[in-house]
Amino acid sequence: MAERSQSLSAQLDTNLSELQTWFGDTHDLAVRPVRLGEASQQRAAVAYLFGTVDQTALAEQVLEPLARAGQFSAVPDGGPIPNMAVIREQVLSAGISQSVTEWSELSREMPGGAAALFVDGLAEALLIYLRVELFRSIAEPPTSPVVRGSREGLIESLDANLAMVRRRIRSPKLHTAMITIGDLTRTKVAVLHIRGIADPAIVAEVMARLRRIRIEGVLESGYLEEFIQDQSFTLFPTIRNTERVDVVTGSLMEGRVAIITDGTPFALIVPISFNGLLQVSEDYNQHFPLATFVRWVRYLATTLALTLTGLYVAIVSFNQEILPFGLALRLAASRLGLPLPTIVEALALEGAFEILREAGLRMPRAIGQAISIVGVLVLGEAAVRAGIVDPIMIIVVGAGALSSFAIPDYALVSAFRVTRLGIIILSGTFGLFGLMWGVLFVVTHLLSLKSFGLAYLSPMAPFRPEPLLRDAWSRALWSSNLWRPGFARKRRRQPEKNLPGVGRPDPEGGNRR
Amino acid sequence: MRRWVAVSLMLSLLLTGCWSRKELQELNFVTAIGLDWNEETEQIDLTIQIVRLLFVPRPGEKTGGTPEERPYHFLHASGRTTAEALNRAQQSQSRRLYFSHLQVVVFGKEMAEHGVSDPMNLFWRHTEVRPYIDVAVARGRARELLAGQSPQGDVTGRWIVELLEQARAHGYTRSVPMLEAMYAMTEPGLAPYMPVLHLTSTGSPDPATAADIPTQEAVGVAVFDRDRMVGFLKPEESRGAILARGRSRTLVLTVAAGKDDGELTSFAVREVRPEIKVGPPSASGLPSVTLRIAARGELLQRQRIPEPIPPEDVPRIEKAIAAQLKQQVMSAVTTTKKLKSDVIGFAEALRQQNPALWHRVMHKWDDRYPDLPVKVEVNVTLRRTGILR
Repeated sequence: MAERSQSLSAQLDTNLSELQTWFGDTHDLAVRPVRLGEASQQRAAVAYLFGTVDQTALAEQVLEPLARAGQFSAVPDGGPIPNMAVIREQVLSAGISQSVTEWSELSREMPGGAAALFVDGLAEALLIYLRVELFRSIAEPPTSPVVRGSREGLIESLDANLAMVRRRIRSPKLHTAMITIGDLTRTKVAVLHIRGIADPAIVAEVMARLRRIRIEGVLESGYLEEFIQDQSFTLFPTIRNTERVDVVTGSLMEGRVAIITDGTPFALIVPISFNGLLQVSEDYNQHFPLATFVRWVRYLATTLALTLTGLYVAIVSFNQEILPFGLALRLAASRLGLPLPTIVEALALEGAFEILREAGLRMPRAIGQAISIVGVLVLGEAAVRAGIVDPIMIIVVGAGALSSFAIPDYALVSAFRVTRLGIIILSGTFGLFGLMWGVLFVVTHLLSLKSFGLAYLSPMAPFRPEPLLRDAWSRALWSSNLWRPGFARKRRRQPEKNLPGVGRPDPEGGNRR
Repeated sequence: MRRWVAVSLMLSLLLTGCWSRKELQELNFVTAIGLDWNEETEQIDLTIQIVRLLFVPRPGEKTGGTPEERPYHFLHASGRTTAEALNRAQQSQSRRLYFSHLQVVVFGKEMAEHGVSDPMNLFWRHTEVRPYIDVAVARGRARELLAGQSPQGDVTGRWIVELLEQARAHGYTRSVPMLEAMYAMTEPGLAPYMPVLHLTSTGSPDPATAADIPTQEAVGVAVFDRDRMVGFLKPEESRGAILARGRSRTLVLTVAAGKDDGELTSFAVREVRPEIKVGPPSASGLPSVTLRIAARGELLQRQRIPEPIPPEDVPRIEKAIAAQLKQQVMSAVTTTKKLKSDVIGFAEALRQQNPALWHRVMHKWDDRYPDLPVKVEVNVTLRRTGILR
């Protein structure tokens, strides 16, 4: 490759040929020569990459004003243009523009949707941002639907995402820091927090960890997640990802930091706790007793997802004495004549379920239905008929799988799926003793995890009764849910306890509303 | 690196296979054990009831009526000890005898008279057997008793347990867990007793053989001196003894409480509160003891007079019932005195209320008990006379 100069030249022709060199004679580089004013002899050119620049806006906001440049008093008719600032401030009607003198910067900005204006005689170029917004419409996030709550999900466009968050928190305290990551992709990453609520130390730590990232390309926030999480070798997510705008805004209001990456609808949220992953934005939308009940259903499902199959294996192949008499006979009768050891049966069914799940996920939607029919009918029914699988085992594995889908966070579901296999193996080897061993191992591991300094199992360990009671074991009334989590800088949410509904009867008689 | 070595070493533990794995379907569920003493061979004849998993009915299915389709079968073996006999029984079994779901141990009459402590010892020590299983005495041989069928064709071991539990509703016997029987046998002052089972005709002959299929019935109490059975209490005596211990929940009494004998009144006792008061010791060295029983219940049936009971009749009915209860309890006291077995538990009251005296008589209590002056007072309260529509 030819030696490339770093700074722009004052010669238009030199600049244009240099531009071709920088972009390697690419096909989609468009160069349009213009005259500044009808009578002007001043040569200029606008260069852009096809498809990245809005053509209408370019014509209306750049080309047309440039053609009429002679009408502006600041531009001497026919005379040379003194500097770019004159054009930027007085001629163009485009919103954002920036003057650059370095080729490297120019070449980085143009693919993002900037047109470059070169003027003969000026050793600088004006970057005019006329980006074509290529994004899908805002839709309900498919990974986390709710019955009651906002149907807006984040999309792939960072600007649109930021706008959605801004619209929900209309406060100057919402702070956005932008950082570019990826030597090749130059992906824009926004770090959001609310000043005065989030702990500045956590924000600084997030920024520091993001700045440390050295990677060629960032296509999704998962790339960043692996770089910035506290503990790399763990199945459990220590950073929450979400597609939901209300989760992002809610987390910001709790004093957390959100990281939104351009090109993906999945925002990252730190710091988080295990308990937070079992909560859903809808919990806060519906009435608190229902939300509390649903939370306990979720806790039960989480326990079952982790232990149910293991428990069955342990009981059936080791600890039969804990079964009630009738159940023991029923189970034994249904397992009579089965050729495989229980643990093999359990692992085979779990394996079949995993394959089914993966197949259902990757198949084109239209075939998905067929997959579930084949999976359920052919595999399940035939295996029972053929006498190699216990029907109760199918119930147990099915119930365990069902329970795992009641866990709202997909990353956590995946973690539990893998952990469950380990627990099945331990249960099939050591019985209930092994099961306890496995559960203790998981709990110990969870205890060792931290998310940006926050203990993963908080507020259970370290034990904080108030938040545990109000936002984990129950979902307190908003009017009495006065405190943010412990890591927030400003702990208090509302100024004082304000009871909902009708006020106290006043002395005049009758109720105040 | 060292971490990975440690992890792979731990994982290698899993390669040793499934330690002490025993698959549920490969177990021989023992549900009932019958023990008979064989006088000729001086050995224990063991009857073991085992579940046949193939014939365990699914919900809604009928169970087999013929012996070939019953959900259980029996093993028989003999040995000088229970363990020896069990081990012999295992010889004919491809699957391991499994005792965690053992429901009931039945002693034949001869076995009970010979002493139950020695054969029961095994169940006491065995890691799989639960201490709360039922124990019972058969009027004849345990082997024949267990061969009786439940009307539904259930596994009889379980059925006997349910039968004994239902004794609460009639009060003629009660279920005694092995733990309680063993404890009573070893603790001075406690008198062991067990429920009695016997076979009774169901009146429905087997269509194949035209022979009557007998079923088990639980009535009466077997009284023990330490571990040897010394006698049976008659049904009414058993009821009196159990009532006096406060172990009855509901029982139905029928008395003639009217002006003429045909006027029968049935009364359901719903709540019994016995209380033993130990008085000061007399010259004989034993205190006089008062057994006060407060019973509350309701009127179930009154023959001949289909009209509401006038309030002035209530005390008379109460008195008649109290008299019958008292008579049942008194007969229990008399018989247990004869058998030198303090089933009603005066010793416990004595120990609580006069420990010093109790320590003096403790070791020869069985001989002193027949001399104990016992006074019985029964107070009956009629709470409801029923709705007449």
